[in-house]
Amino acid sequence: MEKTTSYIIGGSVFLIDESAYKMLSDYLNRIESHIKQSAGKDEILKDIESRIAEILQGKVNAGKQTITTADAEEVMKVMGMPEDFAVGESSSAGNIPPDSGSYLRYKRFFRDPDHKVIFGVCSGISHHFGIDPIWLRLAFGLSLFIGGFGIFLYLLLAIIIPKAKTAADRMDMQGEKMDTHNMSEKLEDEIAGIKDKLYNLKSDAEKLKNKGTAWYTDTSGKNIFRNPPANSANVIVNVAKGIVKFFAFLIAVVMTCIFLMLFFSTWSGVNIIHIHEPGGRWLRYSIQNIFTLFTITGSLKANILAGLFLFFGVPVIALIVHSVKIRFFATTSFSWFNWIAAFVWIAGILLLFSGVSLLFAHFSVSGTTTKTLDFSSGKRHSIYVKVKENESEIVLSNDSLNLYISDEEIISRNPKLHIIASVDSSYHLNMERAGLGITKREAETSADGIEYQYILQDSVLNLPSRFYLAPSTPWRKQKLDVTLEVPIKDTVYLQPSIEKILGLSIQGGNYEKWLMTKEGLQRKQESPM
Amino acid sequence: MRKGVLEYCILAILSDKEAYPSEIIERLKEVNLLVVEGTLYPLLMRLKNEGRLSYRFIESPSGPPRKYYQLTPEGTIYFDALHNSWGELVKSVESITKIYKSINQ
Repeated sequence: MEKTTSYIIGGSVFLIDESAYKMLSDYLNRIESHIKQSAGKDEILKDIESRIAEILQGKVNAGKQTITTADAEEVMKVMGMPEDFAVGESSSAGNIPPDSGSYLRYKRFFRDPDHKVIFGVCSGISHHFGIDPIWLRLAFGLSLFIGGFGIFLYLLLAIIIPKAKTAADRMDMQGEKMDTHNMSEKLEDEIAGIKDKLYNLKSDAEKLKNKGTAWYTDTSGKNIFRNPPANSANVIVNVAKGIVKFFAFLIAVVMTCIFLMLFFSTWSGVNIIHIHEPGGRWLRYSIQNIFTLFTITGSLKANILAGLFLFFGVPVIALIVHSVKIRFFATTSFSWFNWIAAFVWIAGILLLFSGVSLLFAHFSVSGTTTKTLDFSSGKRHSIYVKVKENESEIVLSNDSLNLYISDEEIISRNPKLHIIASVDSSYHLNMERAGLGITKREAETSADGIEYQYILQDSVLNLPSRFYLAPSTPWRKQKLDVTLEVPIKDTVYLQPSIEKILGLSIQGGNYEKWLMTKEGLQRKQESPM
Repeated sequence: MRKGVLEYCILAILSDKEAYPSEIIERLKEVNLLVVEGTLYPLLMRLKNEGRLSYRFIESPSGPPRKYYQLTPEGTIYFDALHNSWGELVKSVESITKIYKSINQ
């Protein structure tokens, strides 16, 4: 007594013998593999299942309790043999051998030479696993940033995985069953390919005829350049093309990142520029801050910003537009867009260029102003020089620029101190301020913006370690030279902290004793106080 | 050739009124054109995808709802074209075979 089971098909349930069940499910599977290429094959299958259900229901209504193999055979006779199910095929007149019932359930792993970008690795993988090759290419490309192991993996795969050469290979790659039906399709493709090759052969023969000339006129009257010869060269060219494509992709990604950074930072004021402070803190500045800091304002700022945006943004936008175009509007010509994009991009470069050169022009001419303070030390014939350290922390310093930027966004710098002999018997404190500008006038104004608050009390000269720029004085690489003229034979007591601005090394804890001589400042031999 | 003719006949059947696949098979059997479901369904699907047929579901007393196919306006145009081609083909074939039949009599 055979086992019965329940069979759900076309929305109805039937009691069925197990052998009949196997027959019908095999039958449906074979039909499915035959109509694989048809559009709407899922719907066709549904229709077929509904029809089978209808037939079976008819039998049940006529009194049959369980579906038997005889019923299954009848269904198959009514519906037809699976071979007949393919669209566009002639009806079965026995000229096609019946389906053996076995079909290629697994796919062989090949590289696909017909859909390759470099070596067809991604296309091959996509056939085998059903993933769209775009994701795989993206993954390989992104892996470049994470240590670049993707390149090695890719090349390894390219060497290991064989290329699908023959029609049989290609069909195995895509998992198609090889029999007369598919064979004829593939053969037609092959024939078309051979026709192309024949055509190429013909034009190659023509080229041979015209050997020795760099270009020649072919039968259609066109001028053609000679083809590069040998096959090994082509392989190298292919690899080179692949590498170039990789790098173009890289550059595009980097530009996009910069562009996005610029975009968000400028509009939202988010602090994106990070500078590491010697003390170990990280400083954050936004683009706006940087501009304000160096007092780049108004049209100059607009120019530079616009130039930056266009320079980074246009390639990114062009890339996006072209990707969309390839995906959706493959056949339309976009040359006008390319022209406009190139034009705008060049305009951006020019803007950037002009903005930056204008910026540099502000640093071209120098000017100085000087202030002098004369005083005497009275009977003491000595002077103490202290350096007033700043209360506010140093938050940013750059040794080459010698620039300090504090939390309040004020720029300050160390002055340079010189101590030399005075030509007379009085002390003189000279402050020479220098600045840069686009004209001498502007340079001098920028020099005047230097603020230096020294304090002279009794014989103690208290010098700040830094000078500041008055508010609304733009930064123009201002410098301050402070010269202290000391009468000869007077003693100069120097505090160690003065090293920073004096350029002499001071020993000792508190003050070191120095003497002003005809030859300049010299260390006194006595031990420090 | 049989496939093209089949298409023509199916459209002819549907030009009269809408019908479901089993019905179409019955009609064809009546005039000795033997066709199985397997050949018909993909053909109907293709015609539908080409916009020449449309279908609607009608409940059936003996099972799942049935798909009733009908000609679309575009299908009607296509059918008329096929009709003309068929007519011309028949004329040409008949005139040639008439000549050679009489020679071989």
